[in-house]
Amino acid sequence: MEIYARHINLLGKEKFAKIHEASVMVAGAGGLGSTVLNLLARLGVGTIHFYEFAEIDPPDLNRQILYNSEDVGDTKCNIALARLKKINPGINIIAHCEKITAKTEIPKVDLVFDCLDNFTSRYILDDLIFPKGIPMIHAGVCSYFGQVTVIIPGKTKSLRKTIPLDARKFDKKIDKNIFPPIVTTIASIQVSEGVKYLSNDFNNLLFGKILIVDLMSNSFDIIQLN
Amino acid sequence: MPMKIQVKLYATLRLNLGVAGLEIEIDKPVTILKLLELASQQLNSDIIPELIEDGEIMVGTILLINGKNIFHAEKLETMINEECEVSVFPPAGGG
Repeated sequence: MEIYARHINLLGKEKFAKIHEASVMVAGAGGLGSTVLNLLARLGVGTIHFYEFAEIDPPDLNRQILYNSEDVGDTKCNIALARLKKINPGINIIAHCEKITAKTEIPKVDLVFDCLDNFTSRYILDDLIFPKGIPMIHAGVCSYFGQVTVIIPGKTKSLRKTIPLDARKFDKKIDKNIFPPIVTTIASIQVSEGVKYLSNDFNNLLFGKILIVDLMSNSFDIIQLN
Repeated sequence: MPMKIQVKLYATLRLNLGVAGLEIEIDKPVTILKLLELASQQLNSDIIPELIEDGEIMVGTILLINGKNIFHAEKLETMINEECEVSVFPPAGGG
């Protein structure tokens, strides 16, 4: 428990117990996923399932902080699992080395972190979890910008309805240029929102609203959604 | 009676257009499409090609009127008939 000494009193024992007993899923262990997984492990979230099927390429290394140059060519899934277990051997980490499809059987979890890199996959994930009542911390990043919103069945629309777009057309146009600090910033906000959700802090949670972060102009704007 | 409409732009739109937002005064209800044309006139810069393609909302552009997505209303024909805030942003897709 000593590794939690710098945040257990800050959060309070009751709040910490909730996240330590929680089970979460992280969809994608790329840019957002690397930081999200890293922080969830260090915070002491009890059980972490993650899904990732890709291999590590050199361009990933500008922002995917779970991986090093020596890992290029290896699978993200195996490397991430090994790193996370070293970071915190006291929690359960389950790697699912596969792509999420409409047939994926989602594990029993309290919360899902959307760390995917395209809307086609995001909508598939949304369709899998929203009807089951599983909430999602959605995020996306591009160049200097990113957004975060929390999708909660029964309280908000699904992701598909919150951000409606032609996913196939949109995904073809995604700009792959990315400023590394926006990725770690947005991923950190995802984890912060996750902690709030797991500890029932709905007053400060980004649901029914969307946060848009622009590191170019240092603007953090929250737009109310109806 | 004139109505003041706040138009707020985010992310790459703010970067490309060099403006974070503007206030448009209208004296009768207009469609969101007409409002964007008025915004172009006021900015002295045509923002329509940034937002609309082949007569439809460009893929990847989210237009909200008081937080309600026009995709769930009458799209570009959605009427603006009261003072409100229009938010325009392109969601970021990467991860």
